[in-house]
This record gives sequence, structure tokens and C-alpha cells, in this order.
Amino acid sequence: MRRQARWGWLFVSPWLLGFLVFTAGPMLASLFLSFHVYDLHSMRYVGAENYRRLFTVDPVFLKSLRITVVYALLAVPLGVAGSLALAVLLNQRVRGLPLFRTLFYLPSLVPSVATGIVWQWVFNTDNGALNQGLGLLGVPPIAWLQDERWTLPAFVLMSLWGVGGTRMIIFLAGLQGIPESLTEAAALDGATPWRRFRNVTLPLLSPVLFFNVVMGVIGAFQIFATAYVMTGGGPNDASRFYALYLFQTAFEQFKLGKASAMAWVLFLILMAITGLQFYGSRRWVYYEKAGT
Amino acid sequence: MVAKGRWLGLAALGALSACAPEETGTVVRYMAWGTPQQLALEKRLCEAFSAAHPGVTVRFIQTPSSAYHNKMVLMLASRTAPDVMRVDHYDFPAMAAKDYFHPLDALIAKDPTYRLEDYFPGATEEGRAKGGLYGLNVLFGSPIIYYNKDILKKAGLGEPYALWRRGEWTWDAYRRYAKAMTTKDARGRPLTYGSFVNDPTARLAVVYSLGGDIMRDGRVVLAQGKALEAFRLLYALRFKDRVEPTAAQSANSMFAFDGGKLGMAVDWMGVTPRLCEAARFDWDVCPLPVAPGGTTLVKGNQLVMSAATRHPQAAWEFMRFMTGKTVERRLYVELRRSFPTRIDVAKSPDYLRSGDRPPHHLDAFVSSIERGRVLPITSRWAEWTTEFNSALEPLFNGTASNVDGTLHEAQRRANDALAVQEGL
Repeated sequence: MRRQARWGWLFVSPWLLGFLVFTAGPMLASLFLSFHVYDLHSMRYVGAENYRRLFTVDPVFLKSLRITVVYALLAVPLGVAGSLALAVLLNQRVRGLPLFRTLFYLPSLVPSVATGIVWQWVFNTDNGALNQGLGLLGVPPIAWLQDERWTLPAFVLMSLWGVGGTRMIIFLAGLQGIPESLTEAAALDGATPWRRFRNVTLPLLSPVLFFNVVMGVIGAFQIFATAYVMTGGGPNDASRFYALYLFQTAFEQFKLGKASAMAWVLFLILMAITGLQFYGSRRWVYYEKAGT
Repeated sequence: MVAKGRWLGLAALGALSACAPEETGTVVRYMAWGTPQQLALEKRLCEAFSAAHPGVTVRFIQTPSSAYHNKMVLMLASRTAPDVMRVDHYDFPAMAAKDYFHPLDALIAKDPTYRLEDYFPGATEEGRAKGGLYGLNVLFGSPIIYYNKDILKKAGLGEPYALWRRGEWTWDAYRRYAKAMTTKDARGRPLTYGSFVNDPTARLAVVYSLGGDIMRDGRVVLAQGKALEAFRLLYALRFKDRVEPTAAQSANSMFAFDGGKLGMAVDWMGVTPRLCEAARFDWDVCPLPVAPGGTTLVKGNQLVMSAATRHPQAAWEFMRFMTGKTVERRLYVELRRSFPTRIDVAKSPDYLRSGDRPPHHLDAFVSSIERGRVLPITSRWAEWTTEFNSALEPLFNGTASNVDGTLHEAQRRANDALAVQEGL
């Protein structure tokens, strides 16, 4: 048994070493730094000052947190619903299904920097495809990326670009795991397609839905590359999302203590939200138990 | 088995050393960013220096400008920085304050051939920190007006340069010119715009030109007096006169000077080589209008020596070479990259002589530099300008129209940033 344990440790050691050096170590180092002022040159202990200042002094931090929360509240439900709808459509028996699946998955293969540049064109006030389209409906041009009232909606809209990506594939896999006999039985009992979806498909898909919501929230809080490329956080901090502000604090201003405190605040926020989601999931997520 | 491994290691080392360029004696590492033409020239200059100095080899580290700042900060903090490097002046005071650079005064005192009086005072002033000289100015320059002579001709206007020579080049004249050079097609869509002042530092040049101040007693005063007037003027150009492309119109270079769609653009002297290559029309330069009590704005970059260098004398020799007459002639007379820091080079017939190709009036550059005032860049510059420029975005994006209110808000945010203890 001990010999087996030794082999076990040996096989797991590359991952363990990587985790200690590249994840746990930096995490502990950032926790240490979050109580200091550190600019790569000198270090000074300041206690919880970095944390206090984030919530009481730094208006950009609060704005950044607020827009990230609003973004998550809008982008995650819309994105999850969009992915689910697309997965349901792609789960139908129609001709050319593999082609459709490929086509819908393609946008998610585009690197986010390239996506950002393409969407900059789409959102251009004067010549962008979006305003050209809206113009046909009589809508006056919108300064999507220049008017701070429209910047956040623009990013939410752009997030829908990825509805056909990995999240949709996971939904599709979940849908294909639902036994047809159950939906057929419901149909024989006279259930309409909507009732079959609402009362049979959705409960059976709820673990997958839950997984996608949890991952979606975490992903939404980490939005970075597109904002970095498209607006750099502007106008007037309207797109300075949390991860972008954290990056700029750490690697443009070199305020590594403050940035570490921000990273830990983000970690705690995500832990709390995920914990709440797990707590709430008892009411709406159904797991099939063995033997049932 | 061990012996075999050792032989393999030795063979690999031998192969590597065979690939590396021959570097004997003292190696001076030099790091810089720049345009491809400039870097190619600097590489040749490094080779020329090495050839002329037996026992000293300059290893040129070319770093893309996008990665330069972070790489330099990390190298300086880890004391692995090159012996000599170019530092953007925006970063220089903050880095000098951390004792990253070797003081140059003692080296200058020992070198009878190096005279600070040979250089423009503004250039030397920028290299000072903590009461001493830590940087030699390079890629020095000033924002200047580039104008498209073809658009000018179509508008039936005389050259701004001629007006400037006659002392009639005022901001009113600039506005008149900008209006005349703004054209639209039959459907009202813009074809050309007359003016473009978009770079935040170019806007500060307008502040200086009207006689305004940026800072006083350590506080930002851009919402006061002539500075406020400058921002009112800049706003009027874009949203009252409508002679400037909006932020959306200028995105993706739709209205760029290089493309021939701008009548006048305020930009740094450093863009001259790019325009020489890219512009397919005739163009020229003239200084910004300067009101009574006003000045132009100058800014360069610093050639510095790492405090951790083990070869200060060799590094100094190289720095002196890079700011000497020969190199300045190559960089600034032949390549037209920015502006010479040496007065004799800037005023030499070679520099002032223009061929058939633009720019035709190099004396406009000289005048801009001579009347120039340096920026009050301190170690807090990045912090407060980030806040200030961010607060100004709604004004220049057209979503705010209250110039005075926006400027006061921007000034408040900038001063709030400065009030915070440094580093927090």
C-alpha cells in the first residue's frame, strides 16, 4: 500500500509541483503583497490600507466593480439563454446539421484580440455595420464606443458573439444525454413541445445549466482582452472592467500591492457568488440519483 | 553515460558560441525602441562605434515599443538593465527618483570634449533630476503643424508658413484656415477636415501657446486662465466650427494626415520620416500660433546609463558618441528623425537645406524648439494625466458640452490623484 502511495505521489508530483510554483505560491505571494506598497523597487508594510482605500477612496475601483457586475448581470443570462436556444436548435433532426454546428462554433475560434478589432469596425458610429443596419430602421447613429452610456451595452452585445462556443457544445452534450423515451412519454401524455421542454428537458439539463451559469459568471468577471483592445477602459472609465483595471494597476502603474488587494477582492467576490449559486442550486438543480 | 552527456553539452555550447557574434573585451549593452529605419541606422552606428573602439563592443538590444516600458522596468528592478538605454521622458523622472541611473556630472567634468552649452537648454534641462544630470536628450522635438499643400491650394489659401513669417499666424487665422480646408460632398458627407489636434500632449502644446500653465505649486491648473481658454478653443474646433473629425471618424485612420484627408494636423516632429515615406501629396510644416506670453512645447527622450553598469567609462564614451555631431547628422539630418539636440547641427546649412521633397521649411522646427518650454513631468505624471485625460474623454467624444465644468472635474480628479500618497 505504501509502495502504491509512493507511486501515486510520484505520478501526481509534476502537477503538484506546477500547482505549488505557479498557482499556490503566487497566490500566497500576492496575499503578502496586498498588505504592502510595492513597486518592484521598494516595499513598505501598510496593513489593510490597500483594501480600505479600494472601497473608500478610489472612485475608479468602485466604478470598475459596478460596471463589471452590471455586465455580468446582463451578459450571463443573455449568453446562457442564447447558447441554450442555439443548442436546442442544433439538436433537431435537420439536414446539414454538422455544417450548422461548425458554422455556429466558428466565431468562438477567433482570438479575442481579433474579435475586438472586428467589433471596433462593427461599432463605428459613421460606417459601422451595426449603425448602418439600425439606420435602415430609422435609428440615428449611436456612438457605441465613444458615448459612455452605450459602451456597456456594446460589450454585452459583443459577448453574444460567443454564444455558439464551448457553452453551446456543453448544452448540446447535455441535451443528447437526455433519454428520448422521457420526452416521448410526455408527448404521449399530451404535453405540448413547450411543456416537454419546460418540465422534462430543462430539469434534466439543470446540472449543465448550473455549470454554465457558474462558469459564465466567473468568465464575465474576467472580461479583459476585448476592452483592452477596443477602448483601453474609456470613455471616462465606462469600460474599465475589473480585470482590466487590475492589469493596468499592476503592469502599467506598477502598484503591485494595490493590484494584489484587488485580485483578492475579486477572488472573494467570486467565491461568495459561487457559494450563493451552490446554495441556491438546491432549489432548481436536479441530479439523477443512482438507482432512481 | 555521464561522459557522453558532458561531451554533448560541450558540443552544444560550442555550436552556440559559433553562432554568437564575436564580442571581445568590454561589452556595452544598449537598448532602444524606434522605427525600422531608425533601428537599422542605430545598429550600423553601434557597429561603427565598436569598430572605432578596439576592446569595446556594443550589443544593440532592439525592443518593440509596445513591450519596452515593462521590459525596462523589470530589467532595472532586477539590476539586469543594459549599460545604456533610451528612456521615454514620461518615465524618466520616476525612474531617476529610484536611483536606477548613473549620475553623469562627474563623467562630464572629466571629459574636456563634452560641453553642455553645445545643446539646446530645454534638452539639457529635461535630463536633470535630483540636482544632477542623469540623461542626455535624444529624439528631442516639439509638436508642430503639418499642412497639406494640395488641400490648401484647392481652398485658395496662402501658406501658413508665410503667415507665420509675417507674424500673422494666430489661432484666429488657424480657425479660418481650418474652416476653408473642411470640405463635404454633395450629400453633406465630409471629404476633408481642416484641423486635427488629438494627442493629449498636443493639446497641452495649445495650452502653452496661449500662455497657460499646466501645474503651479505642485497642483494641476488646467481649468484656469489661459489653459481653460485653450480647451475652449480645442472644443470649438471640433464641435462649433466642425473642422475636426470626431473620435469615431478618426478611428481606424479614416481621416489621417498621411491619407491626404486632413488639411492641418498638430503632431510631433518625430512623425516626419513616416510622412516622407507615406504621404503622396505635397506638404510642409509651420509652428503652432503663439500668443503674446505663450511658448511652444518641447519634449525628448533620455539616453541614460544604468546605475548597475560595470563599465561606466565605456558606456559614457558610447553615450557621447550617440549624442555627438556625427550621429546627430545621420539621425536628424539624413533620416529627419525628430530634432537635433545639438545647436550647431540644428542650425547647420545641411539641416536647414530642404531638397525637392517636404518638409520645405526646417527653420519652423528650429523656431519651435527655441521658443520651447518643457513639460512639468514628475514621477506622478502618469497618475494624474490618466485621471485628467479620462475625465476629458466625454468632452472630446462629444457626449459632454460643458467645457468649463468638464475641465474643472478633470482638474479635480487630477489633483485628487496627486493628493494620494505616492505608491498607494
